[in-house]
Amino acid sequence: MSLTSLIDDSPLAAMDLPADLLERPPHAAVEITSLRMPLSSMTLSVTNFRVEAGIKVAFVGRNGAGKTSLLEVMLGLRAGSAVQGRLLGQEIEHWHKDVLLRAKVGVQLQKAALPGWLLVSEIVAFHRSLYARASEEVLSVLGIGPLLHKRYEWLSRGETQRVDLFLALAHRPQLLFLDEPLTGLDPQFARACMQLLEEMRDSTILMCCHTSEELRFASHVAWIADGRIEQYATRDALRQQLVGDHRLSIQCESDDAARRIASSLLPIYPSAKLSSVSEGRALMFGGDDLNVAARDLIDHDDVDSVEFGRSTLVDLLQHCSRNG
Amino acid sequence: MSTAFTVMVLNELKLIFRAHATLFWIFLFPFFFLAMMLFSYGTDGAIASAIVELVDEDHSERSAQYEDKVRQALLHEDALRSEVRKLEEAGRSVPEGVVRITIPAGFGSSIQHKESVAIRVVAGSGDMGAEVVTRWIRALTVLFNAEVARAQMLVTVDVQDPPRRNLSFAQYMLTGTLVMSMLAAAMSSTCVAIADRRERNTFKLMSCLPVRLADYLAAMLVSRLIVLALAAVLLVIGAVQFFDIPLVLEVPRLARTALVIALGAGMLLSLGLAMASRMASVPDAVFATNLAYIVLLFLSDLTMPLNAMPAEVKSVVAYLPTSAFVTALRGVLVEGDTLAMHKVSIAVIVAWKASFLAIAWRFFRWHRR
Repeated sequence: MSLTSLIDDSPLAAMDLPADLLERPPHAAVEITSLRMPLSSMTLSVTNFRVEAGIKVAFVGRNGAGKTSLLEVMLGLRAGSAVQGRLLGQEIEHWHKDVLLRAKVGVQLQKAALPGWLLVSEIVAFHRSLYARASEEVLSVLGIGPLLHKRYEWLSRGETQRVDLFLALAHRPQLLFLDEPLTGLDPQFARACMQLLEEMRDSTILMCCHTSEELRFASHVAWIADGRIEQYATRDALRQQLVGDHRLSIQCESDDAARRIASSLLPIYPSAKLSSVSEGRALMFGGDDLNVAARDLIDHDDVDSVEFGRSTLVDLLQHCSRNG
Repeated sequence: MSTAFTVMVLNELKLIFRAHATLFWIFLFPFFFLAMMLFSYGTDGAIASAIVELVDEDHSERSAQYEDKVRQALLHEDALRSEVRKLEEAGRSVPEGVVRITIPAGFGSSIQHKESVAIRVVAGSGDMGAEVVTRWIRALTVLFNAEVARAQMLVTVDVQDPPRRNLSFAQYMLTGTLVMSMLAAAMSSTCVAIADRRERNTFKLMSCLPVRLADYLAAMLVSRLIVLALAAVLLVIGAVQFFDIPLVLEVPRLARTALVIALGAGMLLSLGLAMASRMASVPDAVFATNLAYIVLLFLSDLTMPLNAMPAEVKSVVAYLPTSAFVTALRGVLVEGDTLAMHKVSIAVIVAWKASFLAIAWRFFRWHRR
C-alpha cells in the first residue's frame, strides 16, 4: 500500500484519503509527490508523503527494508532515482543544487565519513566556516571539547557519532535527517542527544530508528516495508493499530503450555492476538479487556507468572521488524 | 576566495602533509632517485643514440673504404648506440633522430688527384646522438686522411645542420625525475584521494553541507597544485645545490619553466581526475594509477632513455602526455628555449588536458551507486 497522507491522529485516516483532503497547507517541511529508486532486491517507491513543519518522524522497519535508501534518495544522494517533491517549500531538484537551501538542513548519515586524518578541531573550524555559527551548547553537550585534538580516524564508534551529530546539529537546522542517531553513544550522550533534539521544537526531523530510545522522541512513525511506506501515523496511534494497546505476558513451564493457555483465550477475547511464544512465555496483544484474562490466569495451575500493561515502543519496533 | 574554500584548501594540504607515504613519493623519492642515478652513472655521461644513413654517390674503391671505416667504427663504439642504414640516393629529407653521411661523387678521383673533397653530414635533429656522430665523423676523417691521403687534409667534413643540443645525463635525469614525481603526485594522489572520498561517502556528506561539490573538488586540486609547485622548486634547488647540475636560473627562463610546469601539472591533475571518474574503491584506484604510472614512466623518455626503440614507435610515444611535458620542460629549463619553439609540445599538453577534462565532465560520478 502506498502512503497517502497523514492529517490527524487516526492511523486509518492516514490511508486512502479522499482527494479533497489532500488539499494541503502551503508549508509542509517535506512533501514527496513521487519517489522511485530501483534497488538490488526491490524498488523503493513512495507517493504523496507529506511531513508538516515541526513534526518528528521515525522510519522503522526490518534491516534492508529501505529506510536509509529512502533518506538518501530524498537528499539526492542516489544516482538513478526519480524524485518529485519539495523540501522546505523548494523543489527537491533545486534544493540539491542550492547551497543556501542546504544551509537550512542538517544531515547525519550512517556510512559517511570525513577524511580520517583531519583533527576534530579542523572539522569544527570547517563547520564554522560554512555556517558562520556553531552552537557552543551543542559542542558542550556532545562532549566535543575533549576530542578536539584527536584525529577523526582514531575516534571510537561513539566519538565519531558525536562528531557527526555535531556537524548535523550545531547550526540548528530547520530540517534534520538522521540515520540511527543514537548508535554507539554512551547512555549519557544518548540522553544528551535526545535532549538536544527535544529542544529543537521548531525543527522537522526525519530519522531512521532501531531503538525504543530513538522512537520515544518521535511524534510520528513511518513503517517501511519492502521499499514502501506501509503505514504512517502518529506513534501511539500506530502502536495501538499494529500492536494493540495492551500486552499480556504469560510465563509457563513450557512453550506448549504457554501456547495452549494463550490459544484458549483467543475465542474469549476476539481483539487479542498471539504475538509469539518462546522460552515458556506467550506474548499477547489486545484491548483493555485482557486485564480480565490476566486476573483469571493468576490462579491458573500451569501459569508461573502473568504480566499485564500497555504495549511498548519495543513491541512496535519488533512488530515492524518481524512483519516488514 | 571564500573562507570555506580557504579552509578546505588548508585542510587538504594538512591531509597531504600528514600522509607520510605521499610525502615520501612527492618530496623524498625524487631526491633519492636522482642521487642514486647520478651516483651510479655519474653526472658527465651523455644520452646518445642515432640512426646513421650512409649514401655513397661515388661507388669507388676509396668511397667503399671510407664507408667501411664508418661502419667498423660505429660497430665498436660503446658511447653511442647506433644503427647504420645504407641508402642508394639522398633524395628525401633527413628524419628526426637520423644523421645522414653522404660520400659525394668524385670522392675517389679527388683523392687520387690530391684535390679537396667534403663529406656531407646532415642531422635530422639537434640531439645528443647527432652531435656525437658529427664529432665522431670529424675524428674518423682525420684518421682516414692520415692513412689514405698521407696526412694531407684532402677529405673534409661539411656539417650542414650542426647539432646545437647538449643535454647532459644529469640534466636529463633531473627533468625526467621532476615530471616523474609530478606524475605520482598529481595523477596518483588525486585519483586515489577521490576514490577514498567516494569509498568513505565523504562526497555524500559534503552534498548535504552548504558547499558546492565542485568547490570541494577544486580545493583538492588546488592543494595538490601547491604541493606540486613546492616539490618542483625544492627539486630544482636541490639539484643545483647538492648535485651541481648546471642550470641557468635566470628570471625569464624560470618564468617560462613555471608556465610549462603549471600547464603540465594541470594536465596531470586532469588525468588523475579523469581516471577517478568511476573509481569506487582505493584498491582499484591504486591498481589503475600504478599501471598508468609505469606505462608513462617507461614510454615517455623520462628517466629511461628510449635508445633501442624503433623510430616509428618513438614518433608515436612523443605525443604521450608526459613525453610532451618533459620535452617542453627540457627545452625551456635546460636549453633556454622560448615557448614558441615548443608550441607543438605545448599544444599537445593543452589537447591532453582538454581531453582529460572532457572525460571527467562526461563520466565523473560523485557517489557510488
